[in-house]
Amino acid sequence: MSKLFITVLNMSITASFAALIIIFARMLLRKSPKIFSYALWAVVWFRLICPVSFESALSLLPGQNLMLYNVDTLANPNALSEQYGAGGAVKQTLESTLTAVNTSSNASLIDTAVKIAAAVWILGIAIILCYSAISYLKLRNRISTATFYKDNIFETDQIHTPFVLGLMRPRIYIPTGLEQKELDYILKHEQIHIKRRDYVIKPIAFFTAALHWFNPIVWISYFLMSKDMEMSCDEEVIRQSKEDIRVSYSRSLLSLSMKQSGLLAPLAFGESNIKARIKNIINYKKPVLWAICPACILVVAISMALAANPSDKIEYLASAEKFLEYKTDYVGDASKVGNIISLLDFPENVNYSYFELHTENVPYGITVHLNTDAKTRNKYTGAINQTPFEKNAIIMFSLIGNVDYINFNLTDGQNDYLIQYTKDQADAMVGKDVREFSLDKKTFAQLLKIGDKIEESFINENKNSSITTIGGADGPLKMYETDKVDKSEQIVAFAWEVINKDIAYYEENPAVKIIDSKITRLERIESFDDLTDKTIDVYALEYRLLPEDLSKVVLAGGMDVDEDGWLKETSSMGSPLLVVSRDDDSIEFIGIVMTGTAVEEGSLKTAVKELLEKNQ
Amino acid sequence: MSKLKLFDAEYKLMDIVWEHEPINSTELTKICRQKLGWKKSTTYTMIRKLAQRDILKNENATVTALLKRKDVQKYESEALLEDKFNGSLPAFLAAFLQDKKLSEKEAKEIQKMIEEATK
Repeated sequence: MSKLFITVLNMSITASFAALIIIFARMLLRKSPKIFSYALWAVVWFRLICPVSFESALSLLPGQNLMLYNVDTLANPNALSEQYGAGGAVKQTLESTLTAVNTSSNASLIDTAVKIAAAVWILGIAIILCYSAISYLKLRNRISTATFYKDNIFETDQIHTPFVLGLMRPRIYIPTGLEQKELDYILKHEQIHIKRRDYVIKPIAFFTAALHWFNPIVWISYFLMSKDMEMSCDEEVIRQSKEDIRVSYSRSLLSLSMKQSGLLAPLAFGESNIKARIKNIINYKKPVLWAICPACILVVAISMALAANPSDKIEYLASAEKFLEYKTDYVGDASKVGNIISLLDFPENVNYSYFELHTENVPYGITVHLNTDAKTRNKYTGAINQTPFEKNAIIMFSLIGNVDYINFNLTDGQNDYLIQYTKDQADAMVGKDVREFSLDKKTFAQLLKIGDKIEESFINENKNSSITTIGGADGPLKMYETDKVDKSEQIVAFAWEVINKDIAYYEENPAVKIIDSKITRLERIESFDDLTDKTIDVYALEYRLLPEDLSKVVLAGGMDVDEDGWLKETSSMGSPLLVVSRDDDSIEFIGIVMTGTAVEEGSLKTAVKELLEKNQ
Repeated sequence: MSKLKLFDAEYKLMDIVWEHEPINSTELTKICRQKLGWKKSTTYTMIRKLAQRDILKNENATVTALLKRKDVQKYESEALLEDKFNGSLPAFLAAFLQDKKLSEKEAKEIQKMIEEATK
């Protein structure tokens, strides 16, 4: 019930903005045929009834989710914790912290308030429905003895204003004792109402207004719409008449119905606003084409602009607000850091698992562990694809006070891939201290927008230098910059080729099984422009292999094991260096040289040259 | 006998009764349906009400008028409205919802507006 109420409340707020704009537009249109003003109200009623719409940047509306976001979240304190990934202990602590924060008295108070308001709202609707049912029955009773006049027209002396009643088979009811001329006008007027289905529109409008009974703007809209409905109907009678009947029609209106109908006739056509109507009739001129066109365009434009939901910019503000709630000065604030991470948007197939804080020593860091599949992981080894993480890193740096580096560790359960960002990089990306963006909602929304733009432009342009990071989980690692970062994906693939050969080598011994592997370093250490017509790059490669049972592995000379029981890449020849040739549009794996060889020969260049010659 | 005032619908029904009396009530409902567009129940309710006021009588399913046509007159529709309706709503609701009559002054203003437009 509370949820429904909040939906209606949101619709009410949105529709109110639409109504205010339409009230203004009506003023512009006051010289135009009233059918345009009447048509404009359709969009308000659309907004009052339909909670969803399409999005457009041209929307005239402010964001509706802006206003009531808080109520919504606070009313559902569990919604946030549900968003958490499956990360074991960290998740558990996070959840308990979260629950403690969110189910505080404040939230439950708002929750209760919403519940009470929803109850009052329902009660109000019930009262209005009862009231309209009673007045409807009363009216029915009064016209039960109405006598057949002709066609669908009935007369009775129990009413004093003509009206149309009935949804399926609408009937025109007229008072007795009308003069023939007046009768002609009235019947014409009512028949136009029937033709335009106004007898259906008005009850729908009334019940919609009843749904939003707490909103005075809705009632104002209802009455203005009724007025426009009547006036456009009057105009239609005059337009259809061959002679100029403006004066006699006005006289009939005046003599017949010196009445104004209030709420009492929600379902029928009373005569309302006689004075305004007569004024309108007298001033009415048959419309000419050149005057109608602009009015048409205005109505269509306004209707479209108000029917559409605003796109993007509002969402930025809304999510900025969410993020800023968890702004913190200390990376050690696990609860807030967790909340921020849970609000981040990760790409498809990448799911947040848990996070790790590196707070024992400076530099302080955060590692966000993400689950994914091998294919997705490989995709994000290319720097060009890493922009979603870049954006998330910027957000985190902006919100978390003293964090120096942020890692995103992508794992497919087999292999890990680590993307690392430092605070300096984040500052460089946004052009100033990224922390400054978290000062208020507006600036932070800007940051979110910048983040999206970075993402977009990278995807669109598919070029430019960026920071690529490849490394291991042993703490902050070096990054390097390259002009052709989109090639790095290839280099990683080459590295895995080398690693897989090594794994195959170990597994030649049937007792040995390598159950995990990871790259701990892949860094360009040298670049030669003068060896061939292409540029030759040399990458240092370090990796770790995890055997199922270390004792089964025969460690030959130079082979080494780290403290966690992972095999190192080293051998008697040293570590492998990847040699790669590249030009503007291709990259080619040439082979490996070992650090041992390179050192013994005294020159890396010589070793690379030898490799090139061997390959020719 | 003083003249009795009848509402429009009552008068129309009596019109039929005067023309056809004595008339079988079933027959009367058929004529009313045809001429007035009434449902059977509407006609019977009307017969009952008029019988209570001794304007007609309904015995053995036969309807006869107790008053002559010249003794009754049709209610003028303008006269009835206010009194009839005012009593039926609580005062506060009535105040809020009652149709407001155009004041004489307003009517004159509008009249003037119309006259000016004809010039």
